[in-house]
Amino acid sequence: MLRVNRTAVLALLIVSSSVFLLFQLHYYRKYVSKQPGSHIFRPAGHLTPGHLTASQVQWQVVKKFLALVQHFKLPLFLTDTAVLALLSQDALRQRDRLVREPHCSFLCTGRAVTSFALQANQWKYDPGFLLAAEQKGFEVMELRGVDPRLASLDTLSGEDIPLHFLFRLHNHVIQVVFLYERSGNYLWHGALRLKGDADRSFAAFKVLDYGRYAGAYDRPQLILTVLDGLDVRVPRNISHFLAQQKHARFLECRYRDARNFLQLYPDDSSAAAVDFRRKAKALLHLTARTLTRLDVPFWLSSGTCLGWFRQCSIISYSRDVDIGIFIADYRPDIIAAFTDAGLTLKHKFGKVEDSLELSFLIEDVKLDIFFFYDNGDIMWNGGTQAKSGRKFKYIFPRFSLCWAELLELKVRVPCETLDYVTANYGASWNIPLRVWDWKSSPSNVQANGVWPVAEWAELIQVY
Amino acid sequence: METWTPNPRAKPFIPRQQRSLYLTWKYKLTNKRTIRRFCQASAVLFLLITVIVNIKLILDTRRVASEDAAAQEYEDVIPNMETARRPANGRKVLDIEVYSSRSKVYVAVDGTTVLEDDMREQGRGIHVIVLNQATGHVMAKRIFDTYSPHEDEAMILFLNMVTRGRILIFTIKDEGTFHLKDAAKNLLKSLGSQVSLNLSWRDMWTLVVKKGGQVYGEKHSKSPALSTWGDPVLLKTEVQLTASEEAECHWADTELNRRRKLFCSKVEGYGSICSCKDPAPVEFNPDPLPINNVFNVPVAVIAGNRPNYLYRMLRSLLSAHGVNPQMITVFIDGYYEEPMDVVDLFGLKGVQHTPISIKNARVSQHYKASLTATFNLHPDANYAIVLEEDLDISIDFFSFLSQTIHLLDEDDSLYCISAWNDQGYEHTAEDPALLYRVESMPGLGWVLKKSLYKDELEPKWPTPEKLWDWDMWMRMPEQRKGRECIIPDVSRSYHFGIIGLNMNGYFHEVYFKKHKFNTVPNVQLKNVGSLKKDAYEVEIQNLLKEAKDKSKGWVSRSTTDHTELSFKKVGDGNPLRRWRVCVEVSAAPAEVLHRLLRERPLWETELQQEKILETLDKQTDVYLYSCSNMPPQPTCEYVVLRSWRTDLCKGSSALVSVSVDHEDSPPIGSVRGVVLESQYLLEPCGTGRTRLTHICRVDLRGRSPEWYNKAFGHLCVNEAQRIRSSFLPVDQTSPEAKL
Repeated sequence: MLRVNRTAVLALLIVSSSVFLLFQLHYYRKYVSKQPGSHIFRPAGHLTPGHLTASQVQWQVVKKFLALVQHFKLPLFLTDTAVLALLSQDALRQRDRLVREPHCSFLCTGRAVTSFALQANQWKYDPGFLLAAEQKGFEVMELRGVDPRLASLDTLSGEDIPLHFLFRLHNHVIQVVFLYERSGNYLWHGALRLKGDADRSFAAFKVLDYGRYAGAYDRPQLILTVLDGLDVRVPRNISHFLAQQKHARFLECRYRDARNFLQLYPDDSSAAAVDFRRKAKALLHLTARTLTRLDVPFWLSSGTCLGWFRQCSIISYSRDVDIGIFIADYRPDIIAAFTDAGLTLKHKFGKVEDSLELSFLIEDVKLDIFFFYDNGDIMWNGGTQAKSGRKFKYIFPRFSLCWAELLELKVRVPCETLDYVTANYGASWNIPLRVWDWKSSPSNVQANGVWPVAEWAELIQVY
Repeated sequence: METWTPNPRAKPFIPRQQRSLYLTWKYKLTNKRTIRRFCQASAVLFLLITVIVNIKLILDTRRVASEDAAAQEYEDVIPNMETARRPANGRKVLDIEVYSSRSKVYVAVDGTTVLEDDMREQGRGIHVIVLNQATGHVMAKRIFDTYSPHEDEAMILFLNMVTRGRILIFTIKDEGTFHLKDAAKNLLKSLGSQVSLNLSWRDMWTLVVKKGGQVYGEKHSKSPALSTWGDPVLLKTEVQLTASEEAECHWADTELNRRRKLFCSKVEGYGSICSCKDPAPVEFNPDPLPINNVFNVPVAVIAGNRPNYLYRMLRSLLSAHGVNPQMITVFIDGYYEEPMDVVDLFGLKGVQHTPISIKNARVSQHYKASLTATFNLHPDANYAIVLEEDLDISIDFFSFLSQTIHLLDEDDSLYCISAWNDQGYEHTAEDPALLYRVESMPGLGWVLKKSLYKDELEPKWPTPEKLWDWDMWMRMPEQRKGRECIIPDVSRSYHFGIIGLNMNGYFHEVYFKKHKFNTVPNVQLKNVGSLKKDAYEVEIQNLLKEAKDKSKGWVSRSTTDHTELSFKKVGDGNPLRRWRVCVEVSAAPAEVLHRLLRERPLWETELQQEKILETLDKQTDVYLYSCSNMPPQPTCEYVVLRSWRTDLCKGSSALVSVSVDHEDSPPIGSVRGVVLESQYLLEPCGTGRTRLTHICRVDLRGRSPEWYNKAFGHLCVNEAQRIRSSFLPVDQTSPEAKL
């Protein structure tokens, strides 16, 4: 009986799997293969037969485009990651690279896109430029968006500003990213978003270096250079620029939600609150200066992060400024740097291996620096109660870092801000709480044992 | 799985009767072991392949799906503004309804109410609506309160500005004829109204007409008595739309004219800008400044819903030398269309702001939002120039700022630089090159330093619930902190707005109208360096000292009609006092000097005889004159040595006379007076004006010392006023004559 069952089961399985296979084949033919640009059964990195000529086309197109740019005096510089990677120090050092084309060793990357950036404040928008480009045979796509410089707690609306230009010729696309000066002394570019009626097959949008998200950059120093016989401006410090490009994603503050929040809970405008905000702003700027000099990345944490996320400013009753630093970025000279900048060390808890936490004071505002430890699935930072030696652990879901603007300063915040804030403050983060106990109020706090009494002198330093 | 071993503990197979044919066949096969084994192995293999293919497909599908998700990120998530534009329907006729009554007026075009006013105590007068004859769009809406004086003149002006061919709709609410003069009634008649000449007190009236064309309808109801209103009238009519080409002018196809065309198709009442033949310019191309320190300073124009004001303001701003249109942003408080149309016409950047709060707080919140946005839009800027929509801007506004803006950086005691002088009246302000420091914040065109705004003002700006004026708040000691503003003697801005939150016609008339406004280009400011705190303090002290010295010992006497009179005792034994008269004359110093020297008959009414006895040099002579006195006093004769200079500092002139003996003047029958002292000082004050100071001490002979003390000063005043009146046009009788 069992043997018969087995055979029957086998036969049944074969039949059903055949049907399933047929269905899959049908599905593949009908849906997957129609997706442009995806080649499931083709090996990755496969080169089209006309690749060599494609390179030449690329060079021709870039040349034609640069001539146009020169004529209209666009303050343009090269930001193409592939080209810049070839130009960067590391690549130049190992020049044993195969030179594919003798006259085109940099610009001909074989990619379908070359990207440039345009410093928008240095160019008076001239519709004649686009017309001229069209006359030269380029197909032009202009992408506009709202002006983020008007975004604030007030509702202002102006004309949409140009964010990206795409020029297509012989299937090669040139992307021009508009960089706008923002008040935190940095350059900003917008995300590339297609309007409902836009041509979705104009370019392979997925392979664009810029536009998936908005981005923030330091103002680069530019130098004029000759690449493959063409005059182009490139960032002076290319590897620095490329490093920035990888982590350039920018988050706009959620002003609309902040407005709603502030309508429910108006901002405290007493002299004391104004004074605290002024001091906190000064401290934040000082912190950013100090840590940038040390090349230590930091982000807004706890109350300061909540302030940015919830009301786009500093919570006036929070009485301190909180930042986070990955323990991997810890440097022993951080303390000295802050003391030199005029802050006094208030306490130091924990050690580099565990629950490190620094606290500084300037005027009457506290700066708390929490060091974050990476535990695979989660990230956490420690807390220590000075009088009892008890340790606490604050657990956050993994996060990456994004740029944001707070009080005319470009700072990092966790990209997954909502998760971060929710982890820290619970689902009701949207309701102000004036009474806050750092040991019990956060929803992500866990007891983490007690420091051994013998090590207290070393691990709990209060000044 | 590869090795299939039959279960040894399996029950023996028992065939069943009801088994099907297929299973019987299969059963036979299973008995053949090798075949069975082979089949089983191949089946397993097949299953394995299926699993592998499956896994591969799942992986691939997932990759594609994630790429799809990535591509999704490029989609614009914000729902597009619905572009539900009304289809261009073939209908070419507009239904128009117009209602006129004591308490309510309304106008409906094709069933859409374009005007409805039933507010009490508001909207009295004639409502005028202008429609585009091709599209039927409302291009202008105005109320002329012709119950009040002069409003009919404004209506005439407006109606004359409307382009021919437009459709005009008139309707009266409450009362609109009390001050509707004949000129206006005649204009209405020429537009096609049948009843305009008969319109009278509390009549109700509606009219729909094409300017320069046919009348579509008119209704009128007479008021039966003085105390009652005419019956409400409702006019229903149809208007034939014309082809759009006929409604447009044929300007050359340029970028500017495209903007002009768009503007002129939407709004009406801007005069020659939309004229077909000779349109007013949209671009002004004023001269650049040789050195412009404010070229990259952002200019924020704070505006509300006063598009006509904004138009006038932007014209003057864009005509000022050294203007950089790129840096101008107009901030409009509210989502009004017409101001935005004006901004677009000039190709400027406009930003609209959702109004917050009410009254003064609304203005103050708009200021805050605008200033914040200005510094956000121009993060590199250290200053911002703040203007309002009801200001005329002087031609050298940017030149004035360019020469002074560095002071804001160099002097911490400065709060702002303002283009407006509160004390700069027509009769007081004279020197366009002169600057002051004032302990106030005059506003009306001023420069704000970014650090002041960002560090001090913005964080504590009054919140929306506080109904404060932003400028009053800025002037409070808590904000100003003893700092001062730089202002010019002659204002570089002029406030022309008559309607406004804190403004009315009367206030404008008595205050702003009398202020002077600079029209001289490229004025080189003269005391910029001495405006810094310490230098200015020294200068003020010097001026005070000088003034004290000058007026030492002088006792002033009251006079009439803008004349100053004072005297001083002279300690030389002669009891005659030295008298001083000051008066302003509307003529240049050289003209006045000429009149004093050569045209005595024009101002000396009692002159009997005059003669130059001897000319000593070009600027010196001996001069004889005699004047009759009221009888019984005899005629009095003087022989004086006159000497004059025209090249004194600042373009001043002076004339000094003193009595002398001369051989050509033997004593005649009259008394000879003695001019002990006579000095005329003629200083320019403003263009074409002179400040005349006469210091004089004359012995007329035969009067008592008492008379000299009481009456002589007034004779001097009289003389000075006669000199002044001699320059007035002949048809203007002198004030003295009127008295």
